[in-house]
Amino acid sequence: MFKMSEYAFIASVLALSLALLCYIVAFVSARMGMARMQLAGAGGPSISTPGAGWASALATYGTLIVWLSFIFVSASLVFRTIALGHGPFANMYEFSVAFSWGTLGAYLYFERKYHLRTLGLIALPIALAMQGYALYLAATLPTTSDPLVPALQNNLLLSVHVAVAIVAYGTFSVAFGAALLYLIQPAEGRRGLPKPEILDEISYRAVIVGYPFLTLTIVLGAVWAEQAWGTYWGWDPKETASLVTWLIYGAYLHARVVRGWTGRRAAWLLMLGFGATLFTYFGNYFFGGLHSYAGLDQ
Amino acid sequence: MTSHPVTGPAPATARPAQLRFGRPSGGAAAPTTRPARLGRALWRLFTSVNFAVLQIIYLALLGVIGMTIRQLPSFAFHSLGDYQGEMTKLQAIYDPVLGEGVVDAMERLQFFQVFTSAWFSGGLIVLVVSIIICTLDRTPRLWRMAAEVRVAQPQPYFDPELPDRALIPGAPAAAVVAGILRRHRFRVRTAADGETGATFIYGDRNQWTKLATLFTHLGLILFLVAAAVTSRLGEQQGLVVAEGDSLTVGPIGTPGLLLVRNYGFEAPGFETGKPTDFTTDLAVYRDGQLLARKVIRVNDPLEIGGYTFHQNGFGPAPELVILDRTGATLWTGPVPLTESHEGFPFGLLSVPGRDVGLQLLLDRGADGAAVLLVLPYRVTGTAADGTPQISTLDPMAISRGDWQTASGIDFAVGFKSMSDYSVLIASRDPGQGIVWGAFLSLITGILVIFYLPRRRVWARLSADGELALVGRSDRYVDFEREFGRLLDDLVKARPQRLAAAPGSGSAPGSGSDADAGLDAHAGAATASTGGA
Repeated sequence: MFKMSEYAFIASVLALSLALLCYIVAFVSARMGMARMQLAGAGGPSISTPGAGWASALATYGTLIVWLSFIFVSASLVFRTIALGHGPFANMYEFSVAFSWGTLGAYLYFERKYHLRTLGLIALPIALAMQGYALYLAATLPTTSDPLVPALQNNLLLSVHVAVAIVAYGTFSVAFGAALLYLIQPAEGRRGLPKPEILDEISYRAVIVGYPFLTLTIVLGAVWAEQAWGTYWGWDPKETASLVTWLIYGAYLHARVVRGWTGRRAAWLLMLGFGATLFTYFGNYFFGGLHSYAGLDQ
Repeated sequence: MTSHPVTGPAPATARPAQLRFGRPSGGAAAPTTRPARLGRALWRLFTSVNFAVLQIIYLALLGVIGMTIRQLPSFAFHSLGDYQGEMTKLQAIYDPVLGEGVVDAMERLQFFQVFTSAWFSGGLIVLVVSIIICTLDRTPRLWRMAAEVRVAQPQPYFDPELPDRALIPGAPAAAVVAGILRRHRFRVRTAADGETGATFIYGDRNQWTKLATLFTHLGLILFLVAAAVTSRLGEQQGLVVAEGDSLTVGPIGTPGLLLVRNYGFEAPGFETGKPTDFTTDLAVYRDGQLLARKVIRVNDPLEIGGYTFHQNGFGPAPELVILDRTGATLWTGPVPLTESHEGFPFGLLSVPGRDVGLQLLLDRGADGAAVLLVLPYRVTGTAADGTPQISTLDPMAISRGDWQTASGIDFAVGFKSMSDYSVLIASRDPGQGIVWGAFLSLITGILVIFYLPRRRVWARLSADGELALVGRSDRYVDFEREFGRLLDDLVKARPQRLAAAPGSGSAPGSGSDADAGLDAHAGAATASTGGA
């Protein structure tokens, strides 16, 4: 089963790389086509060129390959779960694979809902970076997992606590992607990129999907900590980082809902939020604490 | 169906219902006294979103400081020696980077105890006050927004040029429209306009869910209340109990005192460096009566007598026997080596009836077997900084099963065998129920706010069968699609003759707002009904 999991993961990495290539080529082709149209004095969305049709087809294939990559990485996680007897979230290799799964899943959900493949230009590299990191860990460390350390021996809480965190991280990746695409455009938008207001809306909706999951992650972590160590909260670096992340996204939601913060200010808050998310994810490397067993010791 | 007759036409200047409940401005007379002005200014400050964001950023920054700068462990505050020891470690880390003296300045600013600092506590207090004031400030408006429903809207409100509107000519009867709304899980109210003959049909779904924000805020306050209750009334103590030993949970003489006994500790796989479990066979007694006995492990504590006993740690406890020259026993039993000296387990033992103590350090001999290094000492005085001054005697290295004595002492020390001690955390937390209430309140509030937002539909069915619709939702939902489905059902329910006519009905938003390139269908979903 471990081998099956590894093969499925490699297949996912290859598919994701190919999908990203399709997206980049399609995007660049479309941009060049538009530039040619503008140079020729043509304009308007109804005008198409043979190149634009080709780029669109390539982008469609790209999406299909992203789905394939998602299916492969899901299979990888399922095989590993069967092999381990618990959710595959006990070390950084497994967590990184799961992070890429969360990002791909969130991207595909929003891509399906909004038909915005441009989001993939940011979300897919994040997922691919996580997969690359997992590959690096797999190359330098054994990928078969040792028995869980005693503190992690709670299959239900381990699986649920980390699974909900993965969903939150995945949706925050999409929110980050949309916010970044927002910030790189002038206020009136840029041809070839989604409209700023749509990106603003997507990032907001991504956060409202992810925020309850992050809340649940923290609450479940606190419940687990109480059961394992007799205290709900110990100001462990990772839990403090989670709280900081929660506060930042909470500030974003309040600022947006109550105060109507949209646009660039909101997008910058999302940059900060995703920075905090990555800080939470990698923080145990630098600061140790109760989550340090989830590091490179596997 | 609830029917509300309308006595007259709605005034043309009337504002839409959801706009009626704005913040009252200028209604109350400006306060004249200084305390009143100050009170109003403070109220404004605490209800300001900018101030709330500022507070969150402030707490987040302190969190980052607490994460990045090594914090003093809680045991550093148990004694002056522990504190000095930990400060020395901090100086060793930061002095080379920051220069001498900076660590002391940072300690004065409480940077090494951020989460118990005045900065942090102050921030939390301000946050609680802010949450309470914001909740008090918003509750009346939230209540009015939820409770006050306006079924009839003036005609301009249905202007199809505005976003989130639709116009369906030849619409079905009012009862059919109401039925379709109900099928879409709206609570329906109707009103008749006696003058124009129009019928207003109003659908409301999740009418009260906006109030869930109060649960979220209540949850946050309850967390902080629970933390205060736990720190004031709760109790947490570490119990170091060697195998075969017993220990009281609290001072002797306390009524209802509990006593714990460690019947055995196991750490399978420890010798490989990867233990698979830590277990303690633990029994709890009160007044000599066994209350409970259980093998506890990290994720499986024992709850009894108002306490919860958690498996927290373990270490070696060599079993010693100390005999005087007559062969009388001065001490027998395991000695937990709870400290560490240069990576080796280390502990102290005061020899009963003697003015001598033993420093014990566990090492391995050349053959890998355990060797106990014993250094007897006498306390000769107290240094200026309060630490005891000692004079050491001749050291001893004792293998398992051996006896040794040294010059200057009148007893022999025997290293009988090795056992383990278990560190248990005994906690009693009267704030636990509040914590669970806080969890429930917070999660419920967030889930309801985000996943059960309020949706409303106003419909005006004119006498000539034209149905004008307005669909609105709180901003947390993809209502455009839902509204589109509702319109589809209404269009389908029209009389057959009209439904077949091409171009009839103007359900909004099928236009593509496509950008070139990757996003061939971009905007089809969000552009459907615009965004109010």
